[in-house]
Amino acid sequence: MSPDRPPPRSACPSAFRPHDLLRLAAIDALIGTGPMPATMPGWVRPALAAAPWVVVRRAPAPDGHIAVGVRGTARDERWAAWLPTRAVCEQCPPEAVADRYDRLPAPRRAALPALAAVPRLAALLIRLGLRGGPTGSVGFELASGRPTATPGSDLDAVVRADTPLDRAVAAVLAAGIGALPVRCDLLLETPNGAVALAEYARGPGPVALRGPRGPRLVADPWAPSPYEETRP
Amino acid sequence: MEILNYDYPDATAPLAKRVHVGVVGSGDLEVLMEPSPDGKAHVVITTSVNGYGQIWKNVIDRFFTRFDRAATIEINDFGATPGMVALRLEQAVEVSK
Repeated sequence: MSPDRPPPRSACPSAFRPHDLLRLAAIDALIGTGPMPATMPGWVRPALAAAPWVVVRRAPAPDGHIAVGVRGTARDERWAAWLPTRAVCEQCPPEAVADRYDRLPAPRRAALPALAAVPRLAALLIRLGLRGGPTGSVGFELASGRPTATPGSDLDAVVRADTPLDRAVAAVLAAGIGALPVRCDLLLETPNGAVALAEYARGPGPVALRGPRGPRLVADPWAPSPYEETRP
Repeated sequence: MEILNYDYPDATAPLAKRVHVGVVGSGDLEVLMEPSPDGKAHVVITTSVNGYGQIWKNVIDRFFTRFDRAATIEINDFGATPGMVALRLEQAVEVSK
C-alpha cells in the first residue's frame, strides 16, 4: 500500500465516531498500541481474514489515525490498535447496521434473541425520533456478516445524542428497551462522551461520562467538557 | 463468570447508610454497600471477565487502605475498565458519607 494514496470515499461522509465499524483495506495497516499488548496477538490475523472489520474506540489517536479495536472469537480476544484513515475502505455506523438485517439468514435471525430484537429496537428509535443502532456482537455481525452474536448475547446499542435528551424521552426509551425480550444496554453518545441510558433515565444525579480520557462523574453530560475548554 | 471473595477484618468503623451506585451494563459495574452483620468488611465480586482475580485483589486492597468501614460490599462487574471501577468505588464512598 502506498502512503501517498488519497483517502478513500467512505459510505458515510461524517467523521469517524466511537462504535463505527470500519472495513480494512489491509490488515498490516494496523499499528499496535497500549495498554493492551502492542504486538499483534496470534488470533488477530485469522480473525481479520474471516471478517476485516474493526470498531472505532473512544481514545485519542495520532493525526491521520483512528483508535480502533479488533475482536476475536473469544470474549477476552480484544486488541487495541491505531488505523491510518487511508486504510479504511468502508464505514458502517451503528445507525446503518440495521439496514443490513435482511442479509443475515432468516433462521439465524429468528434463533438468536439479540438478533431477533433488532427490528423492534429500530422501530422504537424511529418512533422516538432518535438516531442510533446496535453495537457489540450484534452490530459487528450485521456489518460484517460474520456470525458473532451468540444465543446468550445481550443487545448493546447506542443513541447519538448530540443535543440534550429530555429525561422524559429517556424514560420512555428505557421502558421501551426494558420491554424487549433480550437484555439491552444502551449508551447515549453526547459530544463529550457516553453515558448509560439506565443511569441517566433514573433522574437527576451525577452520571458516569465515558470520555476519551476515561470516565468521570458529571451532573450534565452535555455541558462543555473542562478538558475541551479554551481561553477566550 | 468468576466470583471473588475478600475479607478485611480490620475495617470496623460503622457504615452510616446503605449505598447503591453504578449500572448493570456493558463496561460498567454496580457497587452495593450495607452495614456488615459481624462488624468486619467483606467483599464479594461477581465479574463477567475471568482471569483478573489478582488485579481485583490489588484494587480492593488499595481501596481498604483509605476505607475503614465494616461494610458488606457487593460488586457486580460487566467488563468495566480500571478507570470505571475506581470511579464507582469513589462514588460509593461519597454516597456513604
